[in-house]
Amino acid sequence: MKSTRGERVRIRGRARPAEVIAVALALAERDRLEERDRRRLDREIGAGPTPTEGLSIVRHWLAHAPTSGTRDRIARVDAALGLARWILLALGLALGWSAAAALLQVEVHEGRVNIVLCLALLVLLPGLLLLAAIAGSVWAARPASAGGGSGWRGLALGRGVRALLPATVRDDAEVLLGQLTAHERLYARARRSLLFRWSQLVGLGFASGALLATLGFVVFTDLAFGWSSTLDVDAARVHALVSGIAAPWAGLWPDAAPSLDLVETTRHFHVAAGARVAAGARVAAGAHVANDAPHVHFIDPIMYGAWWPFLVMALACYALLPRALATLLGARRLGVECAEAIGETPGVDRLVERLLAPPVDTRAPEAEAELGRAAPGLVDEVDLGDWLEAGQGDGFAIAWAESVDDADWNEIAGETAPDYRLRDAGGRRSLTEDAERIAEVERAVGRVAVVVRAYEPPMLEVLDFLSDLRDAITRERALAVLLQGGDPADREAWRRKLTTLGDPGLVCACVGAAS
Amino acid sequence: MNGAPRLAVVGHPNKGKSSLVATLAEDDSVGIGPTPGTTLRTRDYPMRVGDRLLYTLVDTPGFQRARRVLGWLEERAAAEGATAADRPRLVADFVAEPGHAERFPDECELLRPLVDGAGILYVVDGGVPYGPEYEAEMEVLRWTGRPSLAVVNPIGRRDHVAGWEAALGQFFRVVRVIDALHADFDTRRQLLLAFGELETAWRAPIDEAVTALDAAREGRRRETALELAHFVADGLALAAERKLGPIDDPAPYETELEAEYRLALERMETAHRTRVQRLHGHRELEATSVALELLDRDLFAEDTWLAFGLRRRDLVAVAAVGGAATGGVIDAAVGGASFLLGTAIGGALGGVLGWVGAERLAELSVVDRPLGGRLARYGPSRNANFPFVLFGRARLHAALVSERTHARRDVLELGAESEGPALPLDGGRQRALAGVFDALRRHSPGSPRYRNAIDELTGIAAATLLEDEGRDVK
Repeated sequence: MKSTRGERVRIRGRARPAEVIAVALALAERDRLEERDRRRLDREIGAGPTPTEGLSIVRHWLAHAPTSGTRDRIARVDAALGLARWILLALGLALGWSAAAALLQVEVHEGRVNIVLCLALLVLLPGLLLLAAIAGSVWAARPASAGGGSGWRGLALGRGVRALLPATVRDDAEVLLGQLTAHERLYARARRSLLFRWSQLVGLGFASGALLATLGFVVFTDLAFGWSSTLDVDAARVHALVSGIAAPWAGLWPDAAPSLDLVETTRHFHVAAGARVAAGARVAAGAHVANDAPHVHFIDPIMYGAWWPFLVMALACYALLPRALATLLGARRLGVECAEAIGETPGVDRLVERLLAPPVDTRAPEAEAELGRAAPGLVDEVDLGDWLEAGQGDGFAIAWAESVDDADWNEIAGETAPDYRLRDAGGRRSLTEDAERIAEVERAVGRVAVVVRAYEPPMLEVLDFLSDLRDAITRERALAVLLQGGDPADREAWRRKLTTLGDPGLVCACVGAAS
Repeated sequence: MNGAPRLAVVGHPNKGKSSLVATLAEDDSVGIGPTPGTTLRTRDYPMRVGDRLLYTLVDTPGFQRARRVLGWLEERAAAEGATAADRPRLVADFVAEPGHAERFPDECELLRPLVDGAGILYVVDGGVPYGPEYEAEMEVLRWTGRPSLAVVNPIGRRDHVAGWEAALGQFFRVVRVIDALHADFDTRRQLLLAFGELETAWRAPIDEAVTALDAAREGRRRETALELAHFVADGLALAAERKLGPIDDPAPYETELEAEYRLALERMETAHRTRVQRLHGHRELEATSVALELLDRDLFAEDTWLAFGLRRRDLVAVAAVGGAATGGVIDAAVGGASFLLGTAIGGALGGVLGWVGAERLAELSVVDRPLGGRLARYGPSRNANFPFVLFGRARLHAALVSERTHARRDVLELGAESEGPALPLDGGRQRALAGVFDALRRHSPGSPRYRNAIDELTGIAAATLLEDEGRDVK
């Protein structure tokens, strides 16, 4: 596997919005694990045949990492986004159909369909909206503040609507909006692209609906088109304009490019409309009408309908086609932005590192089973001088593991214990020698002091010795453990440990300066 | 056994065995306590790279009755007329002897891995003087015949290190001095390499382990640098905002927003530190530091908010484009005779209307839901030094955490220092950072330039952290 150490793996390509959410959800789930478990699990995924390209690596991980619960949630979010696309397309279709149908219906009632109005409302206005949407989408998102308000909150479902939704859908919607809000700053561009795509789906639906409605009216009703203007506009200039508009398809479908004659004859004057239509009707019926009648042109009524190919092609060419292109380009751009948003999702770069780098684990796989605890209680502490004086006679001092020599003992005991005999035990001495010391002490009388180094831990070996010693000298003789050196914590550890002997006559005293 | 070396950490109770294991295994779950006999059972710490086991550290309880063990061994050896070659077998017999698991639980626990082929890592405390009570346990260890290495762990003081080295030299071929609580990575690395020298077959896996640990350390540094870069970038963009009604006065919200801003910043820093600590395997570490100084007192500002996340400039832009497009249609209608005046005038008019319209839109409401209003905002900080302070604090924390051993249980105190003599920043790097911070402020998150700035900051942070690893920042 190629190591990526020192080189950040770039997430490039095209991804779906649902994948952005899926990555965020799956990473959030991973974040709840311990670092080592995260590494181990991700490494297991990365250990197989893992792609080397950034987005493929993440997809590979996404296919294996989420738990079934998260996977279900991701699937639902994906389905919801897919459904949203169809709903938006259907909404646009309905809007386009309604708008075109309403316009044509109204105009039919007016007697003549104004081709200029149709173009303005069904082609020009959506075109301007398209331009505005493009401008809005390419306008660079300003750096939003990390703790700032969210544009997505504006899309948040109202309480009333939320209450109507099933719990899973409500939760998923909250998850979707929550993720988009949480990472709003990073997802700003993807969000913009998503909104652009959605707006284009509505636009595509609108253009399709308008086109279908127009074709429907053409087929099932008798449309009479015309154009009119209060301005003194020359028909030739209008013809030049519509010829320009029709240029893209004029070669393919000449009938869809209005002729000058059509433009001239279909100019509609409201004042003369009634007369013209009446005259036309009479001509159609074979009656004679004077050719010099003012503002009256004798035309074939079929000509009034001759604009429809132009209108249909204008809708197709200037409304539907740009929307289709914008939808495709929007989808493409959304894919790119989503891929980059995945790369920007916090934790993805570290995820890729985890997947590609060999995991090093040095920790214990299981928790520590059992820990030793300090014994409860403390052995009584006495003043050494008082304890020695109370003995009023000779006794034994046993230096455990050469803890003190004669000079040390004289310094410790001073005038209070001139007749104490110092003996060695523990350390280099054998167990046999220890037993001999105990026997010697047993034969004599007087108090017994065992001097230990307090900075060394109270080991069972010492406790064994003290236990054997107590058994030998019986409970009647005083026994003390003298803690030499060490710090207060060391001494407390000794006093605690000595309680495990269960010897009520045992006391301890501190000797020498605490370190 | 699969051939990977096992190293049993043995010695007197309470001499830092578990501390050394925690440091070497980078595991803060190791039970460490002042009470002697905290460790009751052996515990394995396998070092794995992927699925490959390279070595295992074994923490053991301390010797409690070494002289009795040695006495049993000597007695048995004398009875059998055993030679030195029989000693490892006698140790195995001791462990297997019925009743010994109850009578000598600690010794059986600690000797069992040695009987199974583990190497010996004998630990003593260099802060206290050598004593004769250690000789019995060292002799028992010698009887095992296992490759061995001694470590003098000066707990608190180093007064008796020399005495220990002299004494241990008589029993062990290799003696190292390592402060388990404060050993840096290189010291730990050297100790591992010394293990590899104990037995020929161990060299390859130990070398491989050391290489993997080096790579892991580099990876951690890079991940820390990434975290640091994102933390600084997030801190730079942080702001506390409150959407108000169209006629509300934002001024009274300043104190509240300042408190929110400070809290958010503190939380952001705490979360960042937790992530970095976890990266380094410190799960329980508690860090304290003085609160971050904001440097700027004038972070409060007013603005307008609009529904659907629109901002005034967005509205101005859209309106201007729309106006220009409308004007363009007129230009086209007159055959260009207007010399694009329609486009220019339409664009300008649309922009002005967008600007004014933003205010108007904010005052409208649909179904009782306002379309906009006034916005009270605290932050983001524009102070030039602010990102340097964030960077410096994160850097100090990262440097301390990366060098901190997993044996320490004290609180990590960071103090007030963000950049001082311990963590200098040369002029070239300061300039580079200033450029990166400027880019982060100017460019939109998610934009290629923003991403480049994050990458650059990550690179600078990684290089800085690498240099810091050689510095004494404790």
